[in-house]
Amino acid sequence: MPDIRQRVQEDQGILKKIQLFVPGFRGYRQREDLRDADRMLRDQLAKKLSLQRKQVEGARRLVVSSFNSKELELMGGIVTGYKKVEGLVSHSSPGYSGISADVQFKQDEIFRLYDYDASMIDGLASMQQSIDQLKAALAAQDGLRAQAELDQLKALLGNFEEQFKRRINVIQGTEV
Amino acid sequence: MAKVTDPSGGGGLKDSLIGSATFSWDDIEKRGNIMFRVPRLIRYNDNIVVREDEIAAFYRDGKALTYFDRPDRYALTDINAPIVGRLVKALSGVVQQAEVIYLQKRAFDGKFGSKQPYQFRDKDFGVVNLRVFGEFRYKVGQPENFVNQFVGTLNFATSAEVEERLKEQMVVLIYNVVGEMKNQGMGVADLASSLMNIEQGVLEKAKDHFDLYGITIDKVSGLYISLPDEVQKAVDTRASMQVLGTNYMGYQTGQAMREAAQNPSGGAAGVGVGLGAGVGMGYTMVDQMRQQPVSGQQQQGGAVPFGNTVKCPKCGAMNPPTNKFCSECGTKFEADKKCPKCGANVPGGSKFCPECGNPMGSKKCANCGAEVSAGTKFCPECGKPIQ
Repeated sequence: MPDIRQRVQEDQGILKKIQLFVPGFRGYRQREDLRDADRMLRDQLAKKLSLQRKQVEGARRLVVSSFNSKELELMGGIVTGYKKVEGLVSHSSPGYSGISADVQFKQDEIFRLYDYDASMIDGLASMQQSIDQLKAALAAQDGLRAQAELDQLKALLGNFEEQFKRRINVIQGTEV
Repeated sequence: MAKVTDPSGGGGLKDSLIGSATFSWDDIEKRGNIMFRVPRLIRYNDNIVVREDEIAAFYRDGKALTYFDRPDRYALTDINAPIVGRLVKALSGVVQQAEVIYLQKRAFDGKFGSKQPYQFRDKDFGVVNLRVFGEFRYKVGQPENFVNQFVGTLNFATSAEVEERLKEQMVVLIYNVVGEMKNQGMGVADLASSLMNIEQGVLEKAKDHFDLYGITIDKVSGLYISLPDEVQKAVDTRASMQVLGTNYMGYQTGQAMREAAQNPSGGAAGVGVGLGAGVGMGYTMVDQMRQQPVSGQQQQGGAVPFGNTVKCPKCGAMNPPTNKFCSECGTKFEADKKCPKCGANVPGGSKFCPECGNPMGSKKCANCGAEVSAGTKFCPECGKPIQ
């Protein structure tokens, strides 16, 4: 995934460039651009989560014929879990601190926030592996293995969510 | 509608020289409202007060910049400032859209009830219509999802609107859990003792349903599953019979006699009416409940299983199957036999087969002393002719 910060800098329009010269406005503008870069990155993460969710939804057709299968219910829970995490990633705070806030969130922290969010891509890769194995188990009609894979996927999604929820605290140094 | 006040200004909104103010959410306005949108755009250095039981979401240009979930006073920044803001507005015509939405952290209590009955297929009572009622406690778990995927999409502001949305899903969840427990063998008579399990099951399933909306279901309480009157009466009757150790006939007879005793003006005619009604109802209920399984306690103990009675071949009185003699005429009960000649079923105690007239009962072989059926010509043990 390309570094979106660079692209945001390159895309600055004339009005933004003028704002960068206004006294007291430069820092505001730079932080805003960084937040935008982080938001774009998180949108990408949310999009990938959405793609994975659609794969799980698509896999449901493999078991939908067996009315009483336990896998369907487990998959329904995971699909909802994906939607929830997508919402968290899309709408979470991009690191803001107002005037004279007790805990400041400055430009360096926003950079680190971006790096932290970028590191979440690895979590998506392991979840993708789990989805592939789930689909293989469902195609083989191996109910027990499918349920085990669903449990594994749920755990990975939960880890992803927990890690994401801690991001601001980790960046601010209130949690290590 | 909630209002914004300046805590330092005695309750009224008070702008400063540069146009900023301090916002808070009045306690008196909170009741019944789960969220509140500050009714004007935020200006540079507007302060918001966030209390222990509140979360504030700060949006600027449509983006959620932060969620204030710790109690404090926060000074917000934007470009709607005295000089810069006016300059930007004059140059470009742009006014920055900055907003604050307050949310309540505290839990709300809601009630739910089923509009349509749930058809429960019970192995004893057949299809039974169930209705569920109860209370649940909910709160905002994830402000990001609650604001953007629930309130933002559906434009809900009051807890009543949110509750309205949730309660139908609560009923569906309960039906789902009851259905699962039914598949594991639970009957309608067991519902009352399984309410706690149902509550826990609903709490577990609620995560998958409501987390998406940023709502956490804290508690399900006061769950009540109502049975139709006739089924409830039958369940109560069965429980009473188990306690009294009697069958349905004995129970109904006792009930009728008690009613007659309570109504002395009815006299003997009253007793007859009571008994007759009891017997009539008895046959209906016996047919309805004949298939019910006998509990282990009943099989082992002296209590008579409900539904199985034996008719006396002599006087026609109904007797419990454990009786060896008729309680009315004293006739000895004997098991049915097969006629050795024609194979027809012959009631116990009969001397001749009602089909072919073959003599029933038994004789002893004069040669070896073995017991042989009446009508048999040769002893099956020694082969000698029976005299």
